[in-house]
Amino acid sequence: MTQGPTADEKLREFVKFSAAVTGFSEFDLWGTGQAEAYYETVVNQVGPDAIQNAISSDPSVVPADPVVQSIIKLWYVGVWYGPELAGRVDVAAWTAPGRSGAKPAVSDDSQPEESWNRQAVPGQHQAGESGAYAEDGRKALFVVSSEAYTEGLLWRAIGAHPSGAKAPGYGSWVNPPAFENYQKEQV
Amino acid sequence: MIQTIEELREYLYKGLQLEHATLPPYLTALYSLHPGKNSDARHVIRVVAVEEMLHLTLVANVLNAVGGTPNLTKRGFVPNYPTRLPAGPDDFEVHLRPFSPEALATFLRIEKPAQAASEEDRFVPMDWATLGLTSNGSAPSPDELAELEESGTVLGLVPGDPTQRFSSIGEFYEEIIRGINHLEDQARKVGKTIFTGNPAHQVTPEYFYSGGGDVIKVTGRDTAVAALTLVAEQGEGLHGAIFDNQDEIAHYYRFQQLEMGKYYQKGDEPGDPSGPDLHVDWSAVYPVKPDIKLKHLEGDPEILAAAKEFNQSYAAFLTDINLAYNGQPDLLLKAVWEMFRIRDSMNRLIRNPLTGQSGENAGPTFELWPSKEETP
Amino acid sequence: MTSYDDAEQIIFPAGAATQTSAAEAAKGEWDAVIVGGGMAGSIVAEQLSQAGYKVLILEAGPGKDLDLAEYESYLSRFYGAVVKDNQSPYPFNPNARMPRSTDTMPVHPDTPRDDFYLVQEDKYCTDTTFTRVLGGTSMHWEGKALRMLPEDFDLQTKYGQGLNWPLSYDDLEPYYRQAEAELGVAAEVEDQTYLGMHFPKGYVFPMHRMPPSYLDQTVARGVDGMRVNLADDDYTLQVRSFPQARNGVPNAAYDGGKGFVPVGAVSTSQAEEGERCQGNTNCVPICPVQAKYHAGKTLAKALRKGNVKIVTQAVASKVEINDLDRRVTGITIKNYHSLDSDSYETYTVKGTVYILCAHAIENARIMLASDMQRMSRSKLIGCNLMDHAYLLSWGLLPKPAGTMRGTTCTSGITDLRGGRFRVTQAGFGVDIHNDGWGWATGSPYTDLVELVDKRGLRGPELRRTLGDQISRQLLLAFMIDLLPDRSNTVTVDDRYKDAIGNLKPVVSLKIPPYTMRGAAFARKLATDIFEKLGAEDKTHYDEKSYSAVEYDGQWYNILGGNHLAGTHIMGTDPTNSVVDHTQQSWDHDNLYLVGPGSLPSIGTSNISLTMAALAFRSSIHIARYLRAAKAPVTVGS
Repeated sequence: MTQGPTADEKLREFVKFSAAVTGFSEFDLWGTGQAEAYYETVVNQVGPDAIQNAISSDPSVVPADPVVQSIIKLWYVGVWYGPELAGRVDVAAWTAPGRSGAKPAVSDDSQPEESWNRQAVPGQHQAGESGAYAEDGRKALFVVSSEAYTEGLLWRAIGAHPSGAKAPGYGSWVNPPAFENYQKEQV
Repeated sequence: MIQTIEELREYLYKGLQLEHATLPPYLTALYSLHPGKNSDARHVIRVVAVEEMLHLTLVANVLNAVGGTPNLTKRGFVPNYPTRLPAGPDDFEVHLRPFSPEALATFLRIEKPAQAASEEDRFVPMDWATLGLTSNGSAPSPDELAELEESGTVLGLVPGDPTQRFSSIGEFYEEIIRGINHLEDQARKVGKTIFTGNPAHQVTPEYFYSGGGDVIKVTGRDTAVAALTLVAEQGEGLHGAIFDNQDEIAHYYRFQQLEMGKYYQKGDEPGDPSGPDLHVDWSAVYPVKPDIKLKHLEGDPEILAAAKEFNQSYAAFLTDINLAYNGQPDLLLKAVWEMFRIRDSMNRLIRNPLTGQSGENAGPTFELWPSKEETP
Repeated sequence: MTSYDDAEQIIFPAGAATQTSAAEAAKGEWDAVIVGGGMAGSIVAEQLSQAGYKVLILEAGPGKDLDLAEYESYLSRFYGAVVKDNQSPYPFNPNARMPRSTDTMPVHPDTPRDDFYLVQEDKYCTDTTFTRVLGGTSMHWEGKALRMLPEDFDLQTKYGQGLNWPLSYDDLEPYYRQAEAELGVAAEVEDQTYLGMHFPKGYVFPMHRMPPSYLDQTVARGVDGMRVNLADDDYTLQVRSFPQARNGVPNAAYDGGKGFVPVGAVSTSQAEEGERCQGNTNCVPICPVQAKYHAGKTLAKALRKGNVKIVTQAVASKVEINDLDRRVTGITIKNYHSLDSDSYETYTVKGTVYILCAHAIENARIMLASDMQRMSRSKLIGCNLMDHAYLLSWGLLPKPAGTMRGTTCTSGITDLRGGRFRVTQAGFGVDIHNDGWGWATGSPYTDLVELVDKRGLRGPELRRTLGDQISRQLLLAFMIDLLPDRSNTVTVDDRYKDAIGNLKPVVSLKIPPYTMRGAAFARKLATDIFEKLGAEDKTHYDEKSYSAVEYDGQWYNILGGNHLAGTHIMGTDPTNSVVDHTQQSWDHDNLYLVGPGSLPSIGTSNISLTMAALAFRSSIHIARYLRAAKAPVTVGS
């Protein structure tokens, strides 16, 4: 074998790895329609080598590779929390729907509110544009796209739906929550 | 001409089948749209799909009113796509495929106003030889016909006479309305009525909501005719008019807006919409493999499992609606929940790329009763 | 059931928001000039246009048209926003800024101008908000539509607290019904008949109540029948459904059996959705399908007749007044070109009558910026600022309860909204939040970071733990009465201006002991309820936060309720109030101040339904005023 994997093979490898760390099937991950966008995001943010390291990292080591943690959170809520924001509950709170409260201290290269000016142009809204890029094009915090938010796996994990999308229907909330079979064997 | 109450009920069952048959193609196109894109197309198709559900309910109300029993769970109720729908003199096939100019052309054709020019034009002889669906090219034998009916391959045949089909869905309903009038006239002569169904089986408006008109409770001739007229006109338009008397835009014109890039507003003439602009992005669509079957998914076990699961949920959805049409109307509320779950599973299928098929995605197969050999 | 013929497609005329320009509008002579295209402004505009009057609406915010594309751009902006606070769907607009909870902090003259809109210099800062886009704060309101209690209208007489209204519950009752029709309220009379609230015989709400969530049912199993003793009185608690301005199942008995047709999504083209709530659990900040009422639904009706015109991006900057007769002679607006540039033109528009409907803070700000306090006999413009004081308590239920489903809030506890205890402490309502701890902690995102980053969970274990943990969340939000207090104010200060030179509102709001006594009691009640439910209390308050309030040696966080009111209260004479019972200014004959600023107290119901009822009532008086003013023989009022 002299040739490396093709782009498609790399993407499939990323999805396969993601399935193992998220607890969702490859079918579910492809089903979000976000696989390419997330793969691209990770490559752009931490580079292809970091993905390879993450894939080959020992899952039993705690704390895990922060890149793995970033990838899990990406699939769960569609937000890229750069590895430098690992463990930042205050940042998580700030980005959650429904939260009210002042902004946490986030490092200077990642101030999402600077994007508000840019979002102001009607029809030209760049979802999750977080303004200040660092010199190398990296950003610590952004929503990958509007769809990334609605495709977050978190909501399925909690037997609900993303706040503001994929409504379950009038009156369905009177029933006890139904959790999908989360113990399904990994393929 | 419909001569017996049994024939009338048979026609109405076929009506249920016809109304439902448009749903899988509409839903496949609808959920093939990329999220966040094609808002206009999404709304147009969604409203039409919701109204097809209304039509299904209206036909069920008529069937219940004349003492029939709606059955949406009968083998063959959901056609094996592609199917053929009556729309004009030529045969045409309706496929499950992603939103595209071809899909839109099909939708326009399904809903096209097509009032027959004369009595004779209301029926079209079946060209079984060209269709190649029978062994020797002649009209199917009763056994072959039963098989064809079960697979839902051809819809709109004249019940009892496989040599002919209706020229359009509108003419099909015209025949039913004539039958109702005829049978009710006869019944009244002897002091009876054909409207002997259990009123408790009627679905009333509080159970059904949509932007597209109200459910009509069918209790006699007038309401039956009103219900069937609404079904026919909401598709094609009243005598080709854009708006019906409830200010609802006929499906044909709804779809035409996508073709013309403009919305109709009141006072417009057909073909000349003057409302706000609308935009279609033909590329913001997932490339669903047309008329996909379970047998195409052999190489993708996870997708295959999900496709089978989808077909089961769809069958469960039809079962729920069927119960709603058979005395438990409040189950329609739950059917909406099912519908939303179906939406989510369809979306997942449609976003899954098939392995080994360059650039095609999976999709729902709507094979509710696959024969053994077709199931991998 | 309603016949279909009554149903009307709510089409917002395409281009309505651009039919006239500020320059055109300034050339015309209008019967009524309304400042603010929110709930109050839309209702007054619709009512006056029905009466045949020519109305101009000046809207500070953007809103080029209420078409579906614009509405969906709000939704998409929310989805893609990094920070999903209650203003996140709406574009950032330096020329007509909105307060954002994320900007809350004490400011000083050196704080960068772009960091804030509401100027708060005190240590305690409220994170309250209102919205400046076409449709106003109704675009993001939650949609609870409670009436005020009869006793709320004469609190001073009954309990020696707050202020009496110049109106009674019975005076307002017919208008409450009108508001319930306009907003499309879903509730049952039998649920809402408590603490003296009464309805005419045979009345039913337009729609049946929203089904209570599984979480409500879980809480009810512990709470129903719970007894509390307060100021020597016993109260029995029960979980009760809240009336909601949200489309549900129409009540066939409404309007003497005529039924009710819900108004769905508003657009310039056929947008047939929103006729029934789908359970998106996103009432705040935006209902994706417009099943929740917003002022655009009324505005679309108002525009249909052609008597109403809108100018957007028109910030009312000054009320022009003739010093001799104190009549308003015009409203000067700054009409900015775009959200990206601070260039604007100035125009003065003229009408027979002027109606400020810009919400409590902006109404006061405009008047103070116009130096109108000098003519006010009461000197109360901008005083008596009120908002509900929110105290949150959160716990973890023993079993999954389906949190994060349903509308934001379907039920709560209302038994302590009124009673003799109000002599000494504030009444409150309790919301059972279907959206979990989000408001308090930032869950579920915080749970995700905890589990992934701190506990190292991944794979099926992560998935399972999240489901178990979040579905058990219970958040009780206590909405506590805050009485009118002259020293709680909106003022202006030349040092604080926005991008186009308008003065920013300076807000000073302190939480008084009367309210804090209610808060302390609420906190105790929460722990009792959690104990009853076997829930683990997870509440903690942060004394370092801007929202921290100390009471009796304990720290609490008091959050804003977005129920701003009181800045131009109504009363019985020009020395004790800014407007009379018709919301007409005591000091300026042809000026009406319509909105929650007129409320002399807010009790324990969010302000919208009462504001809407008052807007309907005032519309009759304004039409009467116009009839007299335009009559050939002038009859002075």
